[in-house]
Amino acid sequence: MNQEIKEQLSAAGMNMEGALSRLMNNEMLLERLLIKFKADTNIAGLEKALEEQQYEEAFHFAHTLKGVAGNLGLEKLMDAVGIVVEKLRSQTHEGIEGDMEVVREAYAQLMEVLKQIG
Amino acid sequence: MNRQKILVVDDVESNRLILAEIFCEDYQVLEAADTKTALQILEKDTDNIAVVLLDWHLSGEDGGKVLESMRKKGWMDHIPTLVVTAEQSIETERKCIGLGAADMIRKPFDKDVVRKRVENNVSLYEHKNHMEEKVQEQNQLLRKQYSVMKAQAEKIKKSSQQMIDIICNILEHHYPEFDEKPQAVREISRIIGRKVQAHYPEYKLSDEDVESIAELASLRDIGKLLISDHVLFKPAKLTKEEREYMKSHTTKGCEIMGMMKSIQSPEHHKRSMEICRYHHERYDGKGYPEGLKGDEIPISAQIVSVVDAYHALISERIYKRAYSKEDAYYMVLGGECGIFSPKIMECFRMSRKEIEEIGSKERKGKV
Repeated sequence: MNQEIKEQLSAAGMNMEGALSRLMNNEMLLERLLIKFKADTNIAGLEKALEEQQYEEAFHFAHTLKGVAGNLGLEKLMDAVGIVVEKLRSQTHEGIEGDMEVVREAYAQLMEVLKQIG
Repeated sequence: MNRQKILVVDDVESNRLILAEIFCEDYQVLEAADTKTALQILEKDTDNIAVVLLDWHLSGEDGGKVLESMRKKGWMDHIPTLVVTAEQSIETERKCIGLGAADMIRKPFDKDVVRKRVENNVSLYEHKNHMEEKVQEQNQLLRKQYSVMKAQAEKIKKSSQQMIDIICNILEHHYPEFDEKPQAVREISRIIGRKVQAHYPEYKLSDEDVESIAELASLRDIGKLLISDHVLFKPAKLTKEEREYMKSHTTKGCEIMGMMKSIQSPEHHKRSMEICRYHHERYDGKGYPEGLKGDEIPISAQIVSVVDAYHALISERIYKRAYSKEDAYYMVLGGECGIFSPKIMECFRMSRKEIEEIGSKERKGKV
């Protein structure tokens, strides 16, 4: 990962320092995990479950996604998913589509940067 | 540290990799993506796993299942489980702790916090496991010492018994008047004692009581050691004074037993004193030395007294021949050699066959 990509990731809402610290400053591992994240199916699962109104399943996907995002320091995505998680937990589905829009935007922004690696 | 492995249970690979990265320096990291694999690993490596890090939201299942299985298998007592979750809610925390989780780790991790939490729990459980081992060791030691003590108590009891046997043997050598067969007196006392125990619970005789009465019966005449030989072995009839003097062998017996107090247990000592002092008392109150009546006479002395009368009849003495067992039996029952309580007489009657069998066995033994 070069400096330029790191800066782009920071701009996409990633806490690079925090993520590296969790990984004992192992930059190689972080890169591997980010590449893995590109193939993460939780976002797709979440979309599908919401569409089918399988809210319990949706909660699980959202929750996992939040965890993964958090571990990788993808804070903007984590915060956006967090709102969805809480709504699903309390079973208030009002305005959830709007919240998902924020999630999608953060996700797309990250993917735009990540397609340059791996 | 003897447990050197850490088990990470999480269905998301990146989460496992992150934790593995944090702990790979200090531990061998085992990974499981689902409950089944986790339990298999635990089964195989129970004694080597220092700590389990468990994701609460395993896909399809609940981390609670792992906790429950661990509890059922008894692993939870030795392996701390830290639940990893992105949940902030107090409910989840309550549930995890309630199911036996040792601690919680919140996602996203802070590596220092995770390390410290794991380290704390591992050292706590290490200490706990160590203490349990120690307690077990101590228990074993105690059991061992207890058995040594029991053996010693047994030995002391035996040697006090041997002491009494030796005294009886010396008595026998010097004074043929005494029992030539202390064994027979012991046996007869035991037989009658058991009958009293079985049929007259009011005397509250335990197995040990019966045994001690049987053992100590041979000491009843030990006071005769302090009686002058010219009276003890006088081939003619005793004068009135000499008879009174002879009777003092009961109280003199207590003087001798008093000297042996320290080698006997308190119960044995008390019983020896009873037997020496009261084995010539009579049920009707006309015995000596105190003229006790009925059940004022200790049960031990009542038993020994009938044994003494019977045994004197079947033995040869300076002044008389030995009677046959049959004659002796009827003479005791007929009240020719003392008055005994009806209960003791009943027990004596019931014991006849057993008592006569001792003799026959002995005779066979001698042939």
